[in-house]
Amino acid sequence: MVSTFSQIREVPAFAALPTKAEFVEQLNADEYARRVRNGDFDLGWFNAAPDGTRWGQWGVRAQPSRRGLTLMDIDKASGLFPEAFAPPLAAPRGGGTEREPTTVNWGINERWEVWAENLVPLYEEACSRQWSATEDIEWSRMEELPPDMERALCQFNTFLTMAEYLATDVLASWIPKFNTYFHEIKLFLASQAMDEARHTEVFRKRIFANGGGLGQAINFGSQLAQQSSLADNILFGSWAFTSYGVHVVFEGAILSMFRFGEFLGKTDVDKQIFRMVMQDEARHVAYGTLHLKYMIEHAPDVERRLEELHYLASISEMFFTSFFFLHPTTLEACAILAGEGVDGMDKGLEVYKALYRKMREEYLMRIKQAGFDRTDRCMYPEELPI
Amino acid sequence: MTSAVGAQPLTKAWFDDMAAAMQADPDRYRRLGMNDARVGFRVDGEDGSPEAAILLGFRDFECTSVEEVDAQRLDGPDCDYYLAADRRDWEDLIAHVVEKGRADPSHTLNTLVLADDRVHLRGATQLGMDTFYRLNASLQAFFEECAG
Repeated sequence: MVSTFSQIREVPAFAALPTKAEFVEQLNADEYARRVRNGDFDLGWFNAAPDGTRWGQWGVRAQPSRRGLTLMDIDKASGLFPEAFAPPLAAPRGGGTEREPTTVNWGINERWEVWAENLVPLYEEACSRQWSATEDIEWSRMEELPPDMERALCQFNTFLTMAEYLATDVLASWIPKFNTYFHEIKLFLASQAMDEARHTEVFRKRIFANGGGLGQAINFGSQLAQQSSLADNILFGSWAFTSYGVHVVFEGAILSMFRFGEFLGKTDVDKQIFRMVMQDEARHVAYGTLHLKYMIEHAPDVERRLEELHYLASISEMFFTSFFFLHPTTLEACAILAGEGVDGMDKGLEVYKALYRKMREEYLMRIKQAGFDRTDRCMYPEELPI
Repeated sequence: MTSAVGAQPLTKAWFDDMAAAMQADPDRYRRLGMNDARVGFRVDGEDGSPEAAILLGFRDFECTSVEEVDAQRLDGPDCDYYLAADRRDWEDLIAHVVEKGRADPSHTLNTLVLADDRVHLRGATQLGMDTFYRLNASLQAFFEECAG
């Protein structure tokens, strides 16, 4: 039977449509509709044996753990752990299919391309640790800051607002490319998109909550956003590269910035904001790091991939040093905040440099633990040239 | 020095009291979210050598275990990360939290750890130490239980 959905998909854009009466007449003539009118139901799905062809399994009773019913619980009960290769179907893992299932040409069909040992618990953690920018920040405790501090914080938050747009724009576009068999990565990225949306929201709210306003947008965002639309761009041409560039390099640096924001915060409200966004960001970095590890341990032709990844890593590190750590708005806003005012910028700059060293050190330790040693190849200079 | 949870600060009994306080407020910790981590606290003497070490097990929304351990164990696979400070610095921090009822902006754990002068974040692996960032609000809330 040809479904109405597939008929609709085959209609060329703006082709003449049938009238409603004609459409109803078509439906009336439909063989299945005629059978149902006669009480002759299909029930193929209902009577199918639970052998994985038309119906998956039957009799599975997953037991909730103490926190509730998790994906880990149902995987354990069903035994439906992902195999190395996904079938070219739009079916949930373990489900049955129609007699003649439509094949789907997903872009990503192999486990090594998406998996990380912490992917499933991280998704559960993401769901459990969601928070509300509206309700979970004690906005009523907002305190006035000196004007130069408020202006610097608004600039810092303007930059972070843009950074969060970027992460959503780049990552969300990958969700339709993953085979539904690997639902975990789709779910995790959907949760990450929500995280990034909330971060944009909370920074925007903070900017307008204490007498300040949006600061200067920087070209950094638009440059990367444009590159993200180019499928053959080396930065975003494969999931492994995208994940490395975004989760490990970019979010690793932003995680340090969020820690720095919490450190610099002079009010409970600012502390709360950065504490909450820091948690989310660390979750993204944790996936990216262990995905890198899984890819290194399981990908075919891994030596070639690692060489390509080194190239990508060098580009990313150079890009972020130039457009991120050395951008006047980022550097100077942080120096003012760390120096507790414009007059203390020199002192604040030393703190900023220390943060950069810490970020670099943590980045290198993280990827080394994943099996990707860039100690001798890292393009982040040991010290910022300032 | 006293703490609102009763027992002598930084002892196993004190952490047991903190765990009990956490358990008594399940809605708060459920709101913060699941928290699976093995977290150490190391108390150093004036010469910098470890005087005491406590390993806490957090599971779901509770602190499920409190153990006195040999300090070396905190650098092994049983522990995701630990916080180390001199006894005097721990006591100052606890006294501050007790007095204020919560950590003020200059005394949150992340702030102290990033400054890295009084309280230090340590661990066997970076991914383990990243757990401190990932579950930070839960640990901060737990630590502030000492204010009662």
